[in-house]
Amino acid sequence: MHEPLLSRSCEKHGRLISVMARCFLALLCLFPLSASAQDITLDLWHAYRGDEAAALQSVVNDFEKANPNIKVKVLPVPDESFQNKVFTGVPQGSGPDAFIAAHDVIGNWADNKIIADLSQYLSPAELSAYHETTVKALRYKPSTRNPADAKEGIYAIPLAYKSAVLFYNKDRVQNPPKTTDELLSYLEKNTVMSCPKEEANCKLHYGIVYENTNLFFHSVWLNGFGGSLFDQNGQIQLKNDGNAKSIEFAKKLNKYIPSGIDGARIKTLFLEGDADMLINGPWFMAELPAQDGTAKLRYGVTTLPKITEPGAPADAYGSPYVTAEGIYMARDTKSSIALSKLKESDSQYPAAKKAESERRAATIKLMKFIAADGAYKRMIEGKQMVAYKAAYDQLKADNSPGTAFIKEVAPVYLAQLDHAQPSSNRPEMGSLWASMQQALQKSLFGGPSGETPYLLFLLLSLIIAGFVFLAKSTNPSVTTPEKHKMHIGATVASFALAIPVFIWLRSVQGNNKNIDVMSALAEAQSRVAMLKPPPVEEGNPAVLVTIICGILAILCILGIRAYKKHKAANIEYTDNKVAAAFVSPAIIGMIILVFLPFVIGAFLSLFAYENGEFVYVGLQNFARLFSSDQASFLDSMSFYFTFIVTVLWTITNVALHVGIGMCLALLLREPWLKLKGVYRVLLIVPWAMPNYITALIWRGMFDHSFGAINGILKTFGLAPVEWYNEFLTSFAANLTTNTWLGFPFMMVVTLGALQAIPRDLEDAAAVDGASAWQRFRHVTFPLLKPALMPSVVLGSIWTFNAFNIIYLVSKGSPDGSTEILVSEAYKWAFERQYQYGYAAAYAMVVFVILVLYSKLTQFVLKDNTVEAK
Amino acid sequence: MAKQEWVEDSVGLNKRDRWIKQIVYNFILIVVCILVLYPVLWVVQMALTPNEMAGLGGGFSFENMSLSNFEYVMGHTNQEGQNLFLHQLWNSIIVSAITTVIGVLLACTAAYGFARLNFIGRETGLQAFLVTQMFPGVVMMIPLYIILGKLGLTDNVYGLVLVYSVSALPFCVWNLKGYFDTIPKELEEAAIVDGASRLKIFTTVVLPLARPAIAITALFSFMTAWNEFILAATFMNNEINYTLPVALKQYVGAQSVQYGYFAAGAILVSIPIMALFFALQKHLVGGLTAGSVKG
Repeated sequence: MHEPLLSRSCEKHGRLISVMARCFLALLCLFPLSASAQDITLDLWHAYRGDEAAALQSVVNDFEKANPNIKVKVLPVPDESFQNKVFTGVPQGSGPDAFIAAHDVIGNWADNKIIADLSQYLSPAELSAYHETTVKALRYKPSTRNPADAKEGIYAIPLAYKSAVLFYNKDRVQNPPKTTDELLSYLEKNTVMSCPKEEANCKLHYGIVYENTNLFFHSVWLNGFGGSLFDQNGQIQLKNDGNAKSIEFAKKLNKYIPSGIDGARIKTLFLEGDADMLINGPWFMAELPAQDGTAKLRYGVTTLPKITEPGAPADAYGSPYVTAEGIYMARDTKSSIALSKLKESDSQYPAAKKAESERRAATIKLMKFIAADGAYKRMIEGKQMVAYKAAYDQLKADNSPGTAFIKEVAPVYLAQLDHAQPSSNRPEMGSLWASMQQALQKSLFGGPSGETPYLLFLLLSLIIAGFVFLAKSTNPSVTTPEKHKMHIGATVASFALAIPVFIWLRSVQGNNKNIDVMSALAEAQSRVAMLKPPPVEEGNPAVLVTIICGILAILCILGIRAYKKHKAANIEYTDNKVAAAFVSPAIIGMIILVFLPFVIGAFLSLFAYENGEFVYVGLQNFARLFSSDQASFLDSMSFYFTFIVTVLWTITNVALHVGIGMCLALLLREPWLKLKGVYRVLLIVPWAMPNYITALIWRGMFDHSFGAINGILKTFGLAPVEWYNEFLTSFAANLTTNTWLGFPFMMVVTLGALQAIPRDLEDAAAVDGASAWQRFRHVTFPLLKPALMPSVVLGSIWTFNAFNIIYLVSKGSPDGSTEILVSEAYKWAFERQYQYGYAAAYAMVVFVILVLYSKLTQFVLKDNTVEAK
Repeated sequence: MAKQEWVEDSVGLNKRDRWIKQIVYNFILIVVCILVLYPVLWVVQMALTPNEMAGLGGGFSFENMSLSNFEYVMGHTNQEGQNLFLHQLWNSIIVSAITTVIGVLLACTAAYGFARLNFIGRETGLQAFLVTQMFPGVVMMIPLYIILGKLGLTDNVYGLVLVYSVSALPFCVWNLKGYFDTIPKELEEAAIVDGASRLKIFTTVVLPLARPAIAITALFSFMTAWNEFILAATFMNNEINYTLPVALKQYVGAQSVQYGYFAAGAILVSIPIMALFFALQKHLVGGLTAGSVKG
């Protein structure tokens, strides 16, 4: 009897002990061991999707199997936030150990000390295993304060390359053109650019389609004709013979290419057999049907044709830019920052140093594994054109059935590398893409003529004046009918004058077809010069002291004034203690998470961000801003132009929000209206949907080829509009989007305010014979106005700062002219060589403008209410 | 009821005029609704088109309509076989729910203080809340990141919660304060005479009366957290910790957008927020004061 019991209890305890022992072991593993070399967890970030992401993960799994003491945490990051995330994370030590990106980030990131030079880890023999062009793309000489210190390094291990090739429809093109002469004669024979009305079975058809205003695709000809973007000394020089000739050739091709072509249209044309050839990169294969013998579309790829144009250099080939994707090592990680905080004499120093060097060793091991050992897997499973040369030999030897297509295309891409060159990885390249796009657009399709900026300026002033007079005419404090009539008259006159100006402006758009290629290039060059950060000069510290003293003085004066007022008013603050309990949690949160970041940000406007450090420059950022940065006042880059656009943007938006919102609210308040609840629910849908989604949708709605808006125009027999190519239409696209997003808020606010207005007043006016308009104008509106004013002020502040819409819908096009101040600030901060101080200066100016604006409205409101009383 | 409506709108309209008005009003509203809903329908058709065909070019037809995009977006798993969508949905719900609770607590107490209590710096404080709306977000991102790093709150759900609940505060405080101002003070004065504490008055008298405005505050806090993308993408270093908007943005690539998946994801992300909107829309009209002084 006893024995089994005992043994059972023993068993019980045994289990308990074993569980405890396991827990203890687990704890041991967690704490003391992890500090030693046993386990390292590396962070790897990438922006891949689909097959590429899956292949990378599978390679990483292989690595973990081969190195059981190293764990790798792979993080896919949305492409849009990838750069920001790395840029903010790495200097804080909360970034990854390694990450994957294209080579165009190198200039910015090496200069700003985000990525490490890998020269010490890579022997020349190791590097020779990768394709030379990709290695070349990843070399960079970072800028230093003293140019003599600059040393060229290699900043990534090449993983893959992406270059454009010629795609062709196998059923239509038996022998893809080998030379540009063949190409041109093919185009002449096979392109149907327009259909006469009487021919019923005529269908538009294109020989070749490509995005001819995009430098990435134009580079095929630019490099082919011997053009370049930099001179021998490495200075930007766009005005050269090769560039001009390449654009002339693009003009020739443009005769056979539909206008307003974009990626989506190219894909559809090719898929439906309406275009025989196209120029695109390897990523495009993922968008086409898999070539497994069952697909309706059979396509092949081949190298770009030889250039046989007169004037081209001998033996010239279409030579696109290559983008090399590499794997980078972060310069700072948690362990390197921990190490840098210790002194050599500290007791923890040796351990920290060991941890750091072990971590680096593990990182480089992972990077090499992905680049070399994982190359074949990335090629077969991820459909990447890898940089590791041995992978192509392995491919030849592989006879498994799934590799047939990759076997067909990989040699083509490899052959194209012989006639291709890496795009520059220097920081200036970022602004060159946009500027060259503008130059191409103007050369191929014409641009606005010289009077455009002046007309635009006139139009903007008239519209703003019109709204200002309109606002004045609704001011109830203006009692004399003459004044009121004058304001109405001025409103009508301003708007009436705006119409002929608008028509004139429309008529000169795209008028200037014969823009000289050289002058377009010169313009692009000056634009790039404007975007470049000026040389940093250290500022005078006296300015900083003065500013701090000034702020303190203002605070003191305000404090004294408030104190005096308080004394004079003789108010007793009875609830200080209770109030502290009620209000302080919110205030503390606001101070730490809103005011403090803002104050830091504000001070940054006195600094320039150079080589990863903030250098104090005094008021130079503001001087640059107000001198409109070498540009003329009417240039779309100048602060003043952007400011006017922002004001116009705010006024038109708020006017439309309030106007539409109020009209709908007046309709919806009628008690006898059927289905009121249903309408109200449906009309707030735009407000409920996240705006980053709707902004993207609206961008698509205004798409030239497939957008719903042009679809509607077509059904009415109107020509489709290229919305983003002209200021007015582009602005209209932004405005429509934001109006759609913003009116529900005003509608709901108005509905709420209307509830508080007694109906009997209006009814009384109706009995007296007032018309509906008169009732609204003299009874409802004056009562509504004070209730709506705070929302209008708030709404205009939000609109003034509505960065999302501009950034996602028009993206500032054409030529940055639809940019508003905050979206411009964002671009300076993150897309133009991280000119963070200059961006902060922009933001400060925005802030001051808004404070002045709200003070002004408060002043006006107070004035009105006093008079009304 | 019906009779009362007739009396309310006795502007001397006869039955025929009323009918004409009814038709005209309904017609206008139907047209406006169609215009407003068109983009939404566009997303729906994109979501129902298989991803290979979905795109700006359309390709939608009733024959090839399918739910495959939804299946993909919801069935996406990671390395360890965890369902990413469910985890990210859960993160979004947790982040938004805690943000709402903290946001409402902070906003109600602060707004009550500003509306009713008599203390030093009341006006300044209230103005300061408004001023924050004028801060351009661009300059604040990196300092914010550094501050959260110092507090040890990056790559942490609670860091996001803190930032979100505070960033919705200014609007919520102004809105609630506007509403508290409309509640007659006499109600509280009676309670004070009875010897009730401020806290007691606040919780038993004021809060129950302010229900519509609190509902709006909750909605706004929830929406701020639910829709935010930039900070969530910057702060979170683990795919399983992403919130839904970040996951959704992964379908927007550098060279192309996976329109089918994006549209399906967009609908999934929008549904909860729309449901909340519709559930609370009765309060929306009464509870949204935006700081205006009524009555």
